[in-house]
Amino acid sequence: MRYAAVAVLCVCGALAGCGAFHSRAKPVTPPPVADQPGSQAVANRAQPVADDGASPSAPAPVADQTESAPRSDQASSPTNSTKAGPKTNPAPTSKPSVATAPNSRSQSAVASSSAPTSDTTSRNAGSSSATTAAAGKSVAPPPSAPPPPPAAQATPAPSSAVPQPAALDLAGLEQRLKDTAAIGLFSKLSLKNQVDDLLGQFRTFHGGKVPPTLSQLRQKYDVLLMKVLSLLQDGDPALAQAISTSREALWGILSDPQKFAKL
Amino acid sequence: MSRSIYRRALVSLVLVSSGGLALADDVSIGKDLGATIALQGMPCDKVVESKRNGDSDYTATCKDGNRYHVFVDPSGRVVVKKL
Repeated sequence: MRYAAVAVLCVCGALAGCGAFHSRAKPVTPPPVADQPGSQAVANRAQPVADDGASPSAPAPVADQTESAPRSDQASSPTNSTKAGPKTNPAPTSKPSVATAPNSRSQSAVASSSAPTSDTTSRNAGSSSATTAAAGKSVAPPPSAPPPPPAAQATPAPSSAVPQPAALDLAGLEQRLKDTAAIGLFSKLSLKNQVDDLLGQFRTFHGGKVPPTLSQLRQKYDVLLMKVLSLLQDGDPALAQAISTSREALWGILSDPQKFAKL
Repeated sequence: MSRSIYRRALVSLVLVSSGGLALADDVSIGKDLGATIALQGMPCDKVVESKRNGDSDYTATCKDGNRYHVFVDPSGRVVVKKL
């Protein structure tokens, strides 16, 4: 009798284990995880990995899944939750809510939401473990996941490409020009005189008087800047470069009546 | 004998160094004056001689023969006049 009971228990345990194994081993279709409950969600998650084109590695995840079943249990609680097995896996590591949520759908939704983060880490690791497979599978579903990063990356680019007059250190440039040894005393005085003359003409322009026109002022501004750069380019190339890059920013300040008034 | 030689050497060394410093100063002033003349839009390829008339007051002779009076007026402006 005892032997019979033991045999029955062993058979039941074997059947349960085999069922779990098969559920994990199945290739998974692209997961709309929230829509598919239970083991089907797990199966769906498994597929994208194969679909991503890592054909040589396709068998690997399957094989790895068997080996790293515990890892998958740990990384993706929804898989565990879908199974009849224990729910005591360290889901909190991924998300605490996952461990507490009893429903497979909610857990799968959470897993899908957390997929990108785990997917990035898994991709970086380059491992073919079930965790990476599951994470990658869960990432594959959200086509929305990849786009946001490029969009996020794209948004800074335009801002960086646009010249920023606000970043111009006018006081710093002025001090550097005063302190530079590339220009002699008489040359500095002469440049100062010419700068003062140009500022007076700008003041006249912003006062509403027609001559000089803005185009004439622009020509004088360019000529004066060329004089300064020609004196600096040999003796102080760094300052020459700084002034050259600040050309448009300086013009923006001079041509704007409000900014010019603050000088 | 050796002391007198030593003193003469020392004096000559001082004279040479001071002359060198003055020469370097002349070169820098010449460049500055040449740049100043050019900033005013006047022709002067290279200043070969500069004479100090007073504080911030110089007479520059260019290689092409032009001579200029470069000074700072009371209002602080640099003035370049062709002589």
